[in-house]
Amino acid sequence: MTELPRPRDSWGTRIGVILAVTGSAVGLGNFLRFPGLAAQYEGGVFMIPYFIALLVLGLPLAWAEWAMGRYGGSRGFNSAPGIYRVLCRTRLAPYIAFPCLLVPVGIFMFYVLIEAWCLGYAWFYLTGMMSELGEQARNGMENGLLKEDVYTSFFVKFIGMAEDGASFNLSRTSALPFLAICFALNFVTIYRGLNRGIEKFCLWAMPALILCAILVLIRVLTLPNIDAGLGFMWNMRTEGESFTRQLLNGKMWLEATGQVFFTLSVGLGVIITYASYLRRDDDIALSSLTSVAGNEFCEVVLGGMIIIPAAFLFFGFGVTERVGSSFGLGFITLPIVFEQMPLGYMAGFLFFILLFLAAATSTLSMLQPAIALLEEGLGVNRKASVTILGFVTLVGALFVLYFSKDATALATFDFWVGIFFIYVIAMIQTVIFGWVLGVDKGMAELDRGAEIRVPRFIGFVLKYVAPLYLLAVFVFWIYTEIRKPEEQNTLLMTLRNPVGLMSVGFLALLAVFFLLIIAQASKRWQQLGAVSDAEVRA
Amino acid sequence: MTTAWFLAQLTAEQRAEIENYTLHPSGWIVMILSIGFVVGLLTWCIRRVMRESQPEKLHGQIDVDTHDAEP
Repeated sequence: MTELPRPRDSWGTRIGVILAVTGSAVGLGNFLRFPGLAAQYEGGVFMIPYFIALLVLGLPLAWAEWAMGRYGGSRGFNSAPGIYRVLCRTRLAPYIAFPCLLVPVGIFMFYVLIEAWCLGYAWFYLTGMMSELGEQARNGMENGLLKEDVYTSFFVKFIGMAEDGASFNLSRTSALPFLAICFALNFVTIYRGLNRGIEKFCLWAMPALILCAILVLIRVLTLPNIDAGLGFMWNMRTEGESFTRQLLNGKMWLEATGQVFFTLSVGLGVIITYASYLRRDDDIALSSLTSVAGNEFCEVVLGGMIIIPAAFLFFGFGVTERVGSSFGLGFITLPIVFEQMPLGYMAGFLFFILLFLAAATSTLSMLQPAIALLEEGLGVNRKASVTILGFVTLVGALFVLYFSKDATALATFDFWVGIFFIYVIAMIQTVIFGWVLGVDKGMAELDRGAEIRVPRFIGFVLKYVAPLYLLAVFVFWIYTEIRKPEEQNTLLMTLRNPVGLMSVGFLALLAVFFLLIIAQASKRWQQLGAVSDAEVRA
Repeated sequence: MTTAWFLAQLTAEQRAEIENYTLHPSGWIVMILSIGFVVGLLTWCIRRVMRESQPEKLHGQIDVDTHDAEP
């Protein structure tokens, strides 16, 4: 058996891998986007398409990605291009996997900034700066200013939305030092490896995150009249005919499916890499289900019980106007809520620490797919691969930080690598699982070492339902994007705005960079006989 | 910090909106079903994972295959 000449990383414990995958999936979307959507779509009614999408699309896709990852891993590959090579057995397959590198690395470049904002806000709560801001807001109200204006202007200044380059300063409210801390934290952890770095970090960060969330939850549930807030979040606010009309709302189904899809981190290129480090007979069926359940706990139980119930108590039905933007909800609306709440500054600190931990466990996972490719494709050691990736992501993060006006660079990155290419990867992976590897072989892979029996109809779902469901959601998403008014249309912004164009150019360069590495890796695997050997084992 | 202090922070309109609103039976059902399903699933998964992750159980004499019956 020809092994690629490189040190092979592996997971230390089973709990570790489950927490690492859960940590990768749990992010800001669990605590900001999910409750915002539920509030927007009549509370309880939203849960119907949400759970259907979870069971029909989310869970089967997660199982498929785990199975393909371990399949490739047991044949000597950890990077998505290598795994695609053994799954498809064609020379072109590794090139199709380039979005599996582009997406996590591209997302890292802007997500690490958001992580820095969360850390920054936690620091401002701890040092009393938010309490000063609260004082300013109260004084401003006496002079006819809205509280919201004070908090908005603080946030705009913090992230440098007013003009390009505004974040490049070292004032008290600059995001730059927090970005440096987050960058260092990510790269020191990833440098330590899978077991001593990512796994160890997630082993304490995930329980800490849940503890912070439970403390904030206790604060929220002990607020007076909280049943009104819970009612707003969970009641089916429409009855009879209007309930049926609401249930048949196509946009709600699209949003619910999108939320399930993004929250589980399927199609991100991360799970396939993480699962490749498992041993051949390790269970994946139960581990995958546990990660999904852990993510849903953070989303439905913690995310669903904190923000909207608390915000309703302070804004009444006006809260629906504030849920459209996750950033607005998290960084403007919630600080106003915390300011008015008894023990609110402490709750605010805990809440932003929890968001920071959720973001950190996600960004960490986004680096591993590229590290795996650099190690096994170029044969470099971890130090070299971390250095190369550190340089590339630093350039990208500084690009997004510099072009901060109206967050255009961030929005463009998010549109292409945070949504568009995720759909593309997910569609490619369902086709590979259902049609190239084949359902029988795929289900047999899922069954090997399994501690639970995955229902047989999942094979049918993955072969026929999931690709069509995904395609329909993708087409509907493109259609809605195209029809958006000019000022909200990211596609138009990409083509007309110079920063949007530059951002797309940057991502295209990144794609070329990964394609060149894949080309080099393919040659190397061929020379070493790693591919033919893996094919024999397949 | 008392409830009275807290309520004093709200405008009369907001107070009225909140006071007239509550968790309906439909809301209770959706909330309990959603949270119950997720918590139940997670608990079941964790129990299974913990059970399977325990060190191998000691085999009783009856389980030990000495292979002395093989030809």
